[in-house]
Amino acid sequence: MMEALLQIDGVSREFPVGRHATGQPRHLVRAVDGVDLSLAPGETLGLVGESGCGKSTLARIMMALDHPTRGAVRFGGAPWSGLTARELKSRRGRIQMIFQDPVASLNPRMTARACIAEPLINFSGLNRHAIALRVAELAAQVGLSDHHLDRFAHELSGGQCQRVGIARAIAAEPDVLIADEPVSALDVSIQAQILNLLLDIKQRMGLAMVFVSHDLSVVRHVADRTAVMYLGRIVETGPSEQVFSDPQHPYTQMLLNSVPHPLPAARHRKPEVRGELPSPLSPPSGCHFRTRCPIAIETCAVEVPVCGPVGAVHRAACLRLGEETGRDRLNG
Amino acid sequence: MALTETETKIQAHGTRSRRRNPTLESLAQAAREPWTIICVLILLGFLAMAVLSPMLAGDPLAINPAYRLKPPSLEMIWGTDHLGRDVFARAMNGARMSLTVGVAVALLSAIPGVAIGIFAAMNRTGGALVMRVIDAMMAIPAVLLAIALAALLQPGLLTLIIAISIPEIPRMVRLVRSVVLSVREQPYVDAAVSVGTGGFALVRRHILPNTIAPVIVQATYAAASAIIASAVLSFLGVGTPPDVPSWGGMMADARKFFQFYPMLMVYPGALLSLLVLVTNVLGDRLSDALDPRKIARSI
Amino acid sequence: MTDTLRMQTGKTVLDVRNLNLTFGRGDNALHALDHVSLSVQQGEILSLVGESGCGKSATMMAILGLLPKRAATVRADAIRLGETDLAGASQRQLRRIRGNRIGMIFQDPMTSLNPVHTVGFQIGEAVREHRGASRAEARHQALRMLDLVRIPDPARRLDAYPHELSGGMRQRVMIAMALVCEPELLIADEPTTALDVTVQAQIMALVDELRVEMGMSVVLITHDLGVVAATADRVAVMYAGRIVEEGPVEQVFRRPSHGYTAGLMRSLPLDGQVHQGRLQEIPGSVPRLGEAAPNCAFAPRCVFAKPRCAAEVPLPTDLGGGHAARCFEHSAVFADLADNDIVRAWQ
Repeated sequence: MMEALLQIDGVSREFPVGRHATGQPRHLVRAVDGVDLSLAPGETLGLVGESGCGKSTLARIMMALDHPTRGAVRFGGAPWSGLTARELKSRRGRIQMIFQDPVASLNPRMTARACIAEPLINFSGLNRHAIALRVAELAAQVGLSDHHLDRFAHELSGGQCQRVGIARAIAAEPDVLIADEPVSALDVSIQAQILNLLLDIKQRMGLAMVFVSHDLSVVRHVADRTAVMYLGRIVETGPSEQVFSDPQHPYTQMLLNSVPHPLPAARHRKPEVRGELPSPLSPPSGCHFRTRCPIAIETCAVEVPVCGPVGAVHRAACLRLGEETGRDRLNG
Repeated sequence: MALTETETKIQAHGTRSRRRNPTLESLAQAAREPWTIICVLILLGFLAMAVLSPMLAGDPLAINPAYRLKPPSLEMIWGTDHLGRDVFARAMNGARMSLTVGVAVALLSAIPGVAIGIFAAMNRTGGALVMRVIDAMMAIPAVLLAIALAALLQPGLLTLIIAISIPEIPRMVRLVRSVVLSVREQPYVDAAVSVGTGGFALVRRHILPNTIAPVIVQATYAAASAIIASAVLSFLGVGTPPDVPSWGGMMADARKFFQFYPMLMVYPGALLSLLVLVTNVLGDRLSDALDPRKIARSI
Repeated sequence: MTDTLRMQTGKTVLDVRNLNLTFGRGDNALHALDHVSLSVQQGEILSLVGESGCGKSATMMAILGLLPKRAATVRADAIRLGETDLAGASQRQLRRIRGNRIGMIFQDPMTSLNPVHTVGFQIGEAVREHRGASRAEARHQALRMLDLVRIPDPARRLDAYPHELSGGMRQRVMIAMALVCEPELLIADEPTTALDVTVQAQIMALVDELRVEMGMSVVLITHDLGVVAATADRVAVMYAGRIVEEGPVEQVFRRPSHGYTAGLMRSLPLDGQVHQGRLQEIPGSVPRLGEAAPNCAFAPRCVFAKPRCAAEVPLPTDLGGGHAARCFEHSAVFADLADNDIVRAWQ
């Protein structure tokens, strides 16, 4: 296997919730719970899961916008987590991020031009004139024309704002692009434009990409490899085709089963969704999914399943993996 | 690219051709409203009063015991006070002090307030310490502080301004801190950090420009309350020395003769009320015009 | 399967004819809705599909009389709920209809619930308001409703505050509130957009079951064709203030006949829809209110557009079986889509 570009080892992130009078936190919520992941150069890794599963926190940790409370992140062979602001600053350009809310991720008092120029001012060491030329070049690459550049975020459409965000992210010529729900705030007719643009850019620049999304169809289309998260843990990971066509973890199966496809088979079908997402403040013992799992057994409450191999690179964290559960494997 | 062509085509259907800074646009719109125009004109009137008082009116300090408490005449249109001084000249000249105090307090509370507020919001441990000091400052009553300062330092305009500014600073710090804390959570700040902007550049480019609008509004209110506070302190005799004409001092002098010569109280009082009123109205207008929701709607 | 679930009696519950909506007056007037006609039969789910600013929510606001009188001018040949004329109704009459004969649920269940009252109180409020029920009766009704929307342990949840419930539970409470007066019509405005896909599946199944149990009609506003396919009987596709295509769900998916509908179907990242790794995109951007092209508003973005599309307003073409599209090029659109996976699946 190729040397990993981004390596995540046993990363956890706990957030304090509420405080006692003594200043001690009342509860700790483990948003990310012992995650191991790696990203190879040029690869696209999809990160899927529902709200509160920790996928955005994990993306922020990869971006060094947040720090793990346990575990370590390595980038290009060197430590990436636990660095000082100064150490980080010079290397930030190598991992860049595209944000979920395209309008809010642009400073409302800056023009599109100024937004795209910012990383160039910080990293490139170019002079004013060279920066202006480079901004125009970047704008053309993301399909913005010159008259868009002098506008403020609210004068642009959501799709145009996301193009500005993409231009800003690729300005520093990063090795890794982290896209946190890059199309979920956009109109349906615009989503395909932005996805195509991202794929084009990834191809042209040979980037590795982490694609965080709750939209399974989009991830299936974009990602080479997919990791499914539930309550802070990765429950299944593998090549996208295998994860989507032959899901092994009961949660992945439930998730895929509840996506409404615009197909006649979906009509008035009863979803096989059981129960509710437990509170992240007190997740179930053992396997977090056991309270909603149709094939849970008593050991699931005691033992935390490790992510075991299904195929060569396909892994799932389920104790009943490979057992005959008498249940048809469902797929999307 | 075919895409941009189509977009240009669609753009051509747009009606707006000129696009400007949204904040300026919103301010320009507010400046066209009649109430704003009236208030600005009145404020300019006060400014003219302050600047031109030596030319428009006589000497505010000249004492003429023979002409005490005279009714209005052609020469002295608002009459004279108990020392025979020209009330009109004193009232005109009093605008100087009120405006100076208003502007100075606005600046002296805004500048340190913004600096301390940003520090308190951006620095976790230092910030907590600063906020406890600020809380303690909030407990000091402005008038008592002014009286104490006047006793300690030389009474005068500067002492007055400092005394009024100090209790205004905590209010400004709290405002700035809360605004910065919410600005800091905005995705565009994360985005800026991601592209390597940090420290001072982050504050200057992203935090400050998005914090300044409420500060301007608060500074306007601080100016209005400072004008009243200065009048109160002058009225109590702990403000400016008696030889500097001030509306508060004039009203204090007029107190003894109020039953017989009520106009001596009414002239400075009315000017004071009018100035405070227009300052507050302008503050409200600014607050509306700088409201982000309003700005978003105006375009 | 669908037809056994549908319990249409042929009775029209909501009938809207030529609804026009303008914001502002004179030269600055913005035309938000243009000749929107809708009808919903009893027991039917009509889905209104479109993107932000296309007028799908504005249509419902106009029908309910919720638009500010000063800013908005509503003109319509008819807006009828059963036998009641809504177009000519006073605000007072409308208040007696909203929440009583028409139930409403919205996108964000958190902001639509009052944080300082218990859910039991909020559900019972409508019964007390519209039916003059006592507190005890209202509480009893609220309990019944919580049970109806399948909230586990309803007696305990009755005294819960909104923040104590999950997003899915809150949306169930919203549905309970909307249905407590047993309305003839439920308007659901993007009810699952803020929710996760597993919760969405549960909520949509619940709406579907309840309309059968209660025999009510539903107008479902959404932007998700998957949700339409899963739950709706009929679909109306809106673009820039007009209904551009309308018909029974099966027919519209089998024979999409407007450039916009076709573009939406082709751009979905379904298996086999992808050509050389790229999705088929709709070029351009969604027009803002008042900035849409005249005549066919979609023409500037449409791959099938001919000069005629920019010169004339396309009128609805009847394609049989209650299916109609405002498109001059409907045959070309369909011919082009014949090999689309979604279309093929519906044949």
